[in-house]
Amino acid sequence: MFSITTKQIDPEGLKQQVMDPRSGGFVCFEGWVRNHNLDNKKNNKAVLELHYEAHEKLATEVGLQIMAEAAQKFTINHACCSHRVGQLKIGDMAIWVGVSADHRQAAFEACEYILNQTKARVPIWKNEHYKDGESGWVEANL
Amino acid sequence: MKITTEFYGRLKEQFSPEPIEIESIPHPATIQTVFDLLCELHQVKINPESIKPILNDTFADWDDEVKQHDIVGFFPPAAGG
Repeated sequence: MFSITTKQIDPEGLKQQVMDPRSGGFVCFEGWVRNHNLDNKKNNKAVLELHYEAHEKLATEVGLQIMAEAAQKFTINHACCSHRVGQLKIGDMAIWVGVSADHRQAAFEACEYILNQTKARVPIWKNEHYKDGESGWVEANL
Repeated sequence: MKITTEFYGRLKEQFSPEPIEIESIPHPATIQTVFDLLCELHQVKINPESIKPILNDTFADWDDEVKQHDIVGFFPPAAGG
């Protein structure tokens, strides 16, 4: 399952979707909005909030493709990824990836694959708003 | 020929935050023709290798032909997560 949401991510609800009695473990990644980042000129800036935007139709299409790839590449039981868009504050969760599998190695690898591919390929962009009043579109950080 | 163009991410700052209707597109024209025209109109230089075009909400190729009333969009590199 892959989703784009404007609402707060519910990690417990998502975890329920990957739980499976066949699985011996579950790996999860939560991406949060942090209060600092390097801007495009490599200056360390205090971040106030982020604004994510997506092309929802194509983001969902590419996201589902990535989930299908993960299911093919790794021996996993379930995987789920949700990305939030809109205005996010410091500490808000921007992305949640969870994978359950019989064994941990496949779950770790699939989780990282889904996260990296989502950052690189899903049409989502983020605009950082800094405490000094400036803002800037963030380049992919892979 | 009249088409609509739309921009995402940082391209909104370089072109327009809102979709732009263009009536002066020659016929026939490809997405590359439209992008070159936009760069000329807005006096910006952008390497098209970093941009993914879309046509009517579907991923497209630069040499796809553009038709009357099409919506052509341009994606900068993704930066989610």
